[in-house]
Amino acid sequence: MFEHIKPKKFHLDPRTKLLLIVIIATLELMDVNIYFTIAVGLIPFLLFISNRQFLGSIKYLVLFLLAAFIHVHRVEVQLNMVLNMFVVLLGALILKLSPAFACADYIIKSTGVSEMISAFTKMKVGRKFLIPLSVMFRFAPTISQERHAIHDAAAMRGIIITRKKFWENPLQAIEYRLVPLMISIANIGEDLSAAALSRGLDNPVKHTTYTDVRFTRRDYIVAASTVLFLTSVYFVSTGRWI
Amino acid sequence: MNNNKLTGKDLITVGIYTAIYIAVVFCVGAFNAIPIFYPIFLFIGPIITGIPMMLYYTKIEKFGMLTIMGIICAVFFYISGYTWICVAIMVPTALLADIILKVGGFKKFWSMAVSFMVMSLGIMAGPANLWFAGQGYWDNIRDSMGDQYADQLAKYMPLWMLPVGIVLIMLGALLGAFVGRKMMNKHFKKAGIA
Repeated sequence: MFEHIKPKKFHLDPRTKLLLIVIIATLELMDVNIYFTIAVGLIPFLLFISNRQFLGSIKYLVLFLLAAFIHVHRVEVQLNMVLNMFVVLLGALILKLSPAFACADYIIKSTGVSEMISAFTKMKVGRKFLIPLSVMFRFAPTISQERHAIHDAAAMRGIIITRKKFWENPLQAIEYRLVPLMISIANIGEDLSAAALSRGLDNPVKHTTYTDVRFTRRDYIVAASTVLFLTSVYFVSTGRWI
Repeated sequence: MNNNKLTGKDLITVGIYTAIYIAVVFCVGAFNAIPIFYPIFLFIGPIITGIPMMLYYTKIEKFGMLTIMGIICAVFFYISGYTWICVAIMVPTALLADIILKVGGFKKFWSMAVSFMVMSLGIMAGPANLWFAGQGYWDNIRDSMGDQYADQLAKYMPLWMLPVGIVLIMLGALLGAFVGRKMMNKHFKKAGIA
């Protein structure tokens, strides 16, 4: 008989990952203080490490700490106005948004589509949302791949944002980018629907899966330690002990 | 089979075009980092999204596909930092757009255009936070983005931008529908996907 597919690496239940991204997305926008923001930002870094995305983790950490550095010193250093505004803004955007984006990147790279689907099924998400969501998961990497290919092809013709040819007719340049992307994506989508239908996507019975999705002790430990860590940082850094 | 239930193929289509829509809105919306682009985005955004959306509209034959798209977009924008207000705006506009398309008839240009105009109002979700999320949101912006950004933003986005913004979006979407139709005739029909 078929065995359930056992996860190999340090592996979390997709539901735990979703819980983490919701926590991060909610907390990173709260303005408590810089220590708390950095504490929130450290979580995606640890997640990256756990998934062995070492290059991504270093890139993210450097970018994030740089943004935190700019945020701390934003009042002392006064460059000229436009440059200052640009740097402070970019720093703030990275500080506020990069943790959730990094977490999303981790989720997409560390979770298989079938694993995600069985997790959503267990969360009682209806199939009207399940199928579009899983297609989106499947498509996020494809869109960026196609975009790069089109970028290379367009660059050969001089249609890139740094060239003069781009600015002579920006609307047309957008057309040259978007239309090939749409065509290739629509075609891939057709193939995908055909493949999914032939595998019985429209079959109304309950679908089974080989992927084993369940909470383990690891999930409880990760969730509990995250909450504990963030609350303790919150109370220590604000100096408010209950 | 001729029923009104959404099949797997329809749902896959929803997923594909929602992914593209979100990607395009994010790319164009990134310019909002510069305050003057905030009002411009409301006009330019629908024009550019018109191309994928018009292609999407040609594939809609059933009620519900736009609503699902709106709900998924709302969840996405919630995660990327636009409070509950984006849910309160995007879901009703998507539902309304769906109803308009159903009443006006699928695959008819004018009902698609009007439906797209309503659907595009969903991107009001971004700026709407400035007016309805209260002082806390402004304090947050002032603290994280700096005084210069907050002051300029307040200058370009006073409350009267709300009706003006709606008109801008409607006009942009109408233009976007025409651009989309032009692209359709120029490229997509030739490629055999529309």
